[in-house]
Amino acid sequence: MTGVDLRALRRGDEAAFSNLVNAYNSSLLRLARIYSPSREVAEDAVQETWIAALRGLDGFAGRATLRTWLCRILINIVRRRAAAESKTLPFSSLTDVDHAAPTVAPDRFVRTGRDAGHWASLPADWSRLPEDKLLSVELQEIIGDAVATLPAPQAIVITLRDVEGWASEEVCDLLDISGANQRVILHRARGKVRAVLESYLAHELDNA
Amino acid sequence: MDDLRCEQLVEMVTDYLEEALGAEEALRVNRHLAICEGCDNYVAQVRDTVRALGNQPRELPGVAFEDKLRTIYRSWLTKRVDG
Repeated sequence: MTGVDLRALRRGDEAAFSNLVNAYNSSLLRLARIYSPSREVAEDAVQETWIAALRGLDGFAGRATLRTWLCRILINIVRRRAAAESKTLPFSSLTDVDHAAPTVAPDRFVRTGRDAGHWASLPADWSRLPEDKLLSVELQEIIGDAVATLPAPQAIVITLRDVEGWASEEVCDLLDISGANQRVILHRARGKVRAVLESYLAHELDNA
Repeated sequence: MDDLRCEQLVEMVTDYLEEALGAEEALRVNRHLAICEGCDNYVAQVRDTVRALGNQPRELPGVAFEDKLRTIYRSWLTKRVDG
């Protein structure tokens, strides 16, 4: 990660700390918001994360990436809080995924006859949309809302993979889950968000 | 003749995009996509969804938060010097 100089940070260079925060604060905040929808509580957890990170900086050996290390600290903080409040955490159900439920409603497919299992109504061609449609503020809000309504394990995986751009291995490492498990969770999450976008864009396409 | 149904393909799409399907299964999917407009559109929709997710705006903390961080850093520095 360019711009993050841990040596300078350890020497007391405040600009180095600024760079570190700029690089990772958004990701930490996003993750914290999944665990605690209250903005205040989330920001609190992130602040605690930075405190713990500075304290543990000398012990950061670089075995994990910096961002995995920071996110682990955040997750541990959130877990400790949840335990203190006797709450069950989203992670406890990370492996509890409903494999059976389809990601596309069965009524989208022909049910009987020779064409059973094929599309009853074709998914739309989104390349027909105006170029900036998928980049619009409104669409981004709709996506944000869609992710926020996902069960926490799905929100976490889709946020780390697709919003933050983490590699699969890094997510599995952080969450301590298998690649296969991660893919199932990602599959369900993407399925739901796609369906939300499809509804929203159906109106736009009718007018295109 | 191997006939992959659309209803099956949509449940394979994540493994497909992750390149986690075996070579044979990936081939089945590709063959199907070449002749099925519905599934071709569907996979494109999933790709577009992923791309749109990647464009989510950054989370910005409030000003109070940034002040707090500065305090956190300076406090750490002080302890470090004394400690």
